[in-house]
Amino acid sequence: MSERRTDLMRGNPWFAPAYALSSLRNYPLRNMGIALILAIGIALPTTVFIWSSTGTVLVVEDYFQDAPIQLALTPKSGQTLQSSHLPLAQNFVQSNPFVGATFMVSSTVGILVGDGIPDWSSYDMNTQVYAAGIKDTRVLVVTNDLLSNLTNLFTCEGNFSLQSGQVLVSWQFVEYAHDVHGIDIEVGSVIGLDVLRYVSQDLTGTPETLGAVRLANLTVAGIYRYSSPSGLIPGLFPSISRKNWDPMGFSASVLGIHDSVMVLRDDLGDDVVEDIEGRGFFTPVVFVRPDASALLRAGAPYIASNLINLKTQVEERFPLVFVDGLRQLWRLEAFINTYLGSQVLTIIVLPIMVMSMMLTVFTSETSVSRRRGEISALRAKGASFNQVFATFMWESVLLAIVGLVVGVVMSIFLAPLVGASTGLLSFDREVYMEFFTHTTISPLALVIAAMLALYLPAAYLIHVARRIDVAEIGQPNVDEPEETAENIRASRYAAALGAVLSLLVAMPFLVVPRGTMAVVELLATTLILFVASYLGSRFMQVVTARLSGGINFVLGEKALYLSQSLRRRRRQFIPLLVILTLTLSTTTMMMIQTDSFRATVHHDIEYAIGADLRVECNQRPIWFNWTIRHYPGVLNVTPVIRDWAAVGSDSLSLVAVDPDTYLKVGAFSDYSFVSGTPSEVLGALETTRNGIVLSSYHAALWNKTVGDNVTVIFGGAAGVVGATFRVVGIMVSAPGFGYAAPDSSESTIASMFGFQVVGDGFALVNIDFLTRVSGIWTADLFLANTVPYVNITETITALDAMFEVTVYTPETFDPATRRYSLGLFMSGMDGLTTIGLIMCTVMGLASIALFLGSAVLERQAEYALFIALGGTKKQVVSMVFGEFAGSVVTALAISTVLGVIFGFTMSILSFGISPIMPLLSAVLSYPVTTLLAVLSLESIVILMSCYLPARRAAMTDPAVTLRNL
Amino acid sequence: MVTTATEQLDIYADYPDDVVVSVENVYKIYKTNEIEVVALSGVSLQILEGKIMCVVGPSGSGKTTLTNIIGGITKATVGRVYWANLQTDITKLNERVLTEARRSFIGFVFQVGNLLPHLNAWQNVELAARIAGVPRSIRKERVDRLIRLVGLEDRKKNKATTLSGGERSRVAIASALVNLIDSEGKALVLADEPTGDLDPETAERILDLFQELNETLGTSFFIVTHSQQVASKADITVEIRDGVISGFHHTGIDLDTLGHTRIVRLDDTYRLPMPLDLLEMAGNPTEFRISYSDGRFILVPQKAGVLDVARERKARTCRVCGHEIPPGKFICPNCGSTL
Repeated sequence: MSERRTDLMRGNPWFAPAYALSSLRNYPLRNMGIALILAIGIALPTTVFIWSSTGTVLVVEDYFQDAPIQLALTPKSGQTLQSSHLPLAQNFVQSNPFVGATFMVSSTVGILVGDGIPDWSSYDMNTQVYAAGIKDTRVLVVTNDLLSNLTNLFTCEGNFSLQSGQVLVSWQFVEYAHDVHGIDIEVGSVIGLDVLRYVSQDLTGTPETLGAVRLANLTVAGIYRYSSPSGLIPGLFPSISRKNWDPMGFSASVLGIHDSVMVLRDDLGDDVVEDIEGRGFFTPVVFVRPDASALLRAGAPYIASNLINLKTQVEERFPLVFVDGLRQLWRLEAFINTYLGSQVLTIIVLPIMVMSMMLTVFTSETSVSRRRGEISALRAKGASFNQVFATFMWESVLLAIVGLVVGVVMSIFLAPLVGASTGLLSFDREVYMEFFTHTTISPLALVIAAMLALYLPAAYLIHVARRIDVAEIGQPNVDEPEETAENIRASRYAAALGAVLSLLVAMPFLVVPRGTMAVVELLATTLILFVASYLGSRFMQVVTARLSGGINFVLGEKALYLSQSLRRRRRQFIPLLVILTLTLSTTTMMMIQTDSFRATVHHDIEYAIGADLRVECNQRPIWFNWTIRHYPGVLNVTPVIRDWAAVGSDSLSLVAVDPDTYLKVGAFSDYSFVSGTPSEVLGALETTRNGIVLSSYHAALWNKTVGDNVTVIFGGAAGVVGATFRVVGIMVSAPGFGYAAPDSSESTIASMFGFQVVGDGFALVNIDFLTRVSGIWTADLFLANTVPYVNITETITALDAMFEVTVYTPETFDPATRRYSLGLFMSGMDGLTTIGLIMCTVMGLASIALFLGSAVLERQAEYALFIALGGTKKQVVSMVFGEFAGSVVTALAISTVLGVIFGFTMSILSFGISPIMPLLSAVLSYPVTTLLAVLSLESIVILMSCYLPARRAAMTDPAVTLRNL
Repeated sequence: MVTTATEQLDIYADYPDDVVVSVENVYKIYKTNEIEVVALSGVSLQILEGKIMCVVGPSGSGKTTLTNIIGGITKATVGRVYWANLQTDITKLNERVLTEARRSFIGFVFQVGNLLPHLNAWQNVELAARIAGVPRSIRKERVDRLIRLVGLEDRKKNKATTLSGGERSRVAIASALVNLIDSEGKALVLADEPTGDLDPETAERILDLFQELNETLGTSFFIVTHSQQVASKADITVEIRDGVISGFHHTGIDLDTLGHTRIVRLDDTYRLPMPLDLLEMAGNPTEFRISYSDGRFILVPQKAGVLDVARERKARTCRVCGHEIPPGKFICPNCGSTL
């Protein structure tokens, strides 16, 4: 008996990753296809996140660049630097993690001195100092560090920085100096200043008592002008209103930021600055510059609350310090919220995302199932179950990493496109570059991207677990069970498709899509899209197979092949057909959706503006309409009087128009009036002088109907008046005035741009009657129509140039530039649609490469036989291309139908998540030309890509292929 | 990586040293859709060191199942499978230990080759050694040696898809041997129809290669085949039919004259399989009278079965009246008395 021994070969722990790497290298096309498709799925949500976080960073940076100083601390009235504990407060603020820097800026009075300027002997701030030949000014003691922070607040001729011996002067100081001394101060001029260290009780004194320190030979480095809209700094260095020349003359603003000079702290010396801070003419101010990056790191949504917290903390801890600032913070908050809110747009690209994930499953399954022989070989060579399993998992992890990197890189390039889109397939290059250079990737985006990337290993896990059998040794490397031709009826699929599509069209009408419901419905639509694509593909597969069998005379010998192939190769063709159908349907759907959104917004704007021309002005006599009418191109003009009114305890507005003219100029819709057509209702209002058109809300509230009387009290020129009106019509809304009921949604176009009559709803009345009863003869709104197809640009320019007159027309009104959130949403939709089109095309191409590539590989023996039987290469190309192209054409046909129907529903649903709600119903718009162009281009590209596998099929060498059969 | 472990209980010490694998009273029952199929029924055999054993039998007789059970791919439902390298019954081992032990003990050669199409001949041979974690230098030396042995030096850089059928078979054989080459005889190559898709001339070359390797490396071969050509090269040939070993043959058998060389062996429960061809010649009898004399067992086919004899009922005489009671009756038809 031999010595008892157990020889175990533990195995190579690095085999799995090494083999996975070589496997990836060996099948580059298939693996890159899988990684690319995964990358698309990852890129879409990541793009939206990168866009929103980059946009947020941009608005935050812009905001803090425009107004770097957000808070200012000053001693409260009656307090001094020390008594208010301002230095302690400064230290406290400085220690806050969200504060970048604090600057104590002291200021006092300085007096201009120099050659040709007589010396002064006494100074009284409140007298006519200019008449006394003294040009006083506010001297701000600054550092270059502070100046660099203030650069964006000032426009400056020369440099906005100082070196020792230099001074910055304000533009108004230069003007006043000229007035007082007749000298012209320019950049490079040399001036002198007596800086007054102490203030006296009565603001008067001599150079000695006021502690004058002379700064001679100061070179003017720059002349500045305060140019920021923020009122913070002028408020901190307030002007005083003083009669400078004549006690009986006009007052002028002096000694504020506009009449100031800036000198370096080092030029004055610490002792002097200390005196100025403690005993100078004005109390010092501490500027607080928040640290934008620290605030962003803490989270964009919390920027406002973090700053407000800081302000509150200082106020509570230092009650004698006045904290000013954060007045414009709401603006920043609104921008940030708009961006964060726009992340909901991800839902628009959801179908493409799901599509890519679905395709990932298909392709990874094909990849795994094609390798049963390989698994068997590995097992035969001693690979353990774990080694085989690990090989596949490593492969999937490596692919997932590649997909993740590609996806994130794609997002970095695509995200700026969302921000920079100005329309479908057009974008602003400068905005793109700005977004691109500021690309910010939020950790959340990366986490989501990584989670999506994990999807591939998960798919592999399932496939491999299903496919690896430990007993599977000795399996051939290729095994493709033949599928049998199926004999199914197209009517089954047609019926199911019809049912699904009916449900889709009915859905937005059954459940009103708003807020969360809209999101749910969008998700449901995405699901239906997939179901419909599958059913449509099956339907078209059967129909095409039947049709191709019936048109032998066109297709020749290809007909039999095509019809059999379409029936038999379900496993190859159905996924491909579904993917192509989804791709093309989504393209169509997104384009219709985006175009319809724009069309509906435009339609709503037309209705909100109300007429061809909407002239808003200060109160003018109602016959100003005649002035407007005399401008070229203007046809009819009605003045509009808006007056407050009440019926019982219910308040409302009265909108008085000339009914006949209003009928001609108003952009009425079918939804305006409920009691009749616009001409019937306004005709009745014209003939009934005391007629009134009530909103359906008010009519129901007061239980009034057409023909009833209603007593209304309203504002008159001389006080409250009352009158009885006869109801001549009931309305929902009116062009130019928005919703007539009080519960008007704040997100309608009309209310967004101030075209909505504010208050508790309104009623239309006859202007003749109202003017006569109320005595009001002025109006601040005029609606006009113009001659069709006539260029009225000059008229608009001329009217706009009038004092306090603003003209709106539907053509020139750009909602995107006026309303940030709407602009952002529209640009987001355009950008995502453009990205969607690109992604769909890439995905279509990738799926063709993957599916048809493997189809050709699997069927090489078939092609070899065909060639061996005497088929030419040309015939093979024609046969295979015809077969593949048949699928593409099939997909194109069904997807056009599906795209149009889904576009309809998605157009309605997209308003559910948008920041606006159309007052009128959504307009379905088909961008036929663009649609045709894009679809043709996509189809041509996809068809052309079918040629490559067909050519590869023709390259089959029967000698090689058939030898191994 | 090679480790040595010592077994605690020595219940397999009875095996002679030259046994590589021993299969004892193995049953394999497949259960699919509530139907049980008995693939092997009480199979016992020993594979000896340095010998070539062939298995012949019709399709579905259980040849491949037996191969898989010997290779530890499939677990026997009942019975023991002894591997010399572990010196234990492998049916009780877990998958991990089995895989690790198999790497240096069993090599597989299949009809389909089981080569990876994207690897070249050299890499295909090397793969098993890489999986097993053989250090690179040893691996290279072994693969080069095997490639030389199978005569593929000129084709070693060719992808598997560009090799001819014979070349593929040679690669598969080399690949099966890559971890066994240094095992000093205690190893086994399981070959399932290794020449199934080769022409006779190429098949002959492959069989010569088997013999050469068998002689030079001392590796045992267990070959499943339908081919006379293969069976003629074996040291021992096993006939298998319906999951039962129906006979053994010494070297160089002729599939047409199996009846002359067949040796049948009692199984563990003293049962003896009867060769079908002999039964057919005797008119398919089901019962025999067996006797032993002059050093021979004599089997005489019986015309009537044991049960038929037992069933035969005779007429009896009534003890009261002497009348004949017909067979199967118990009351005398004449006097009415009970039998």
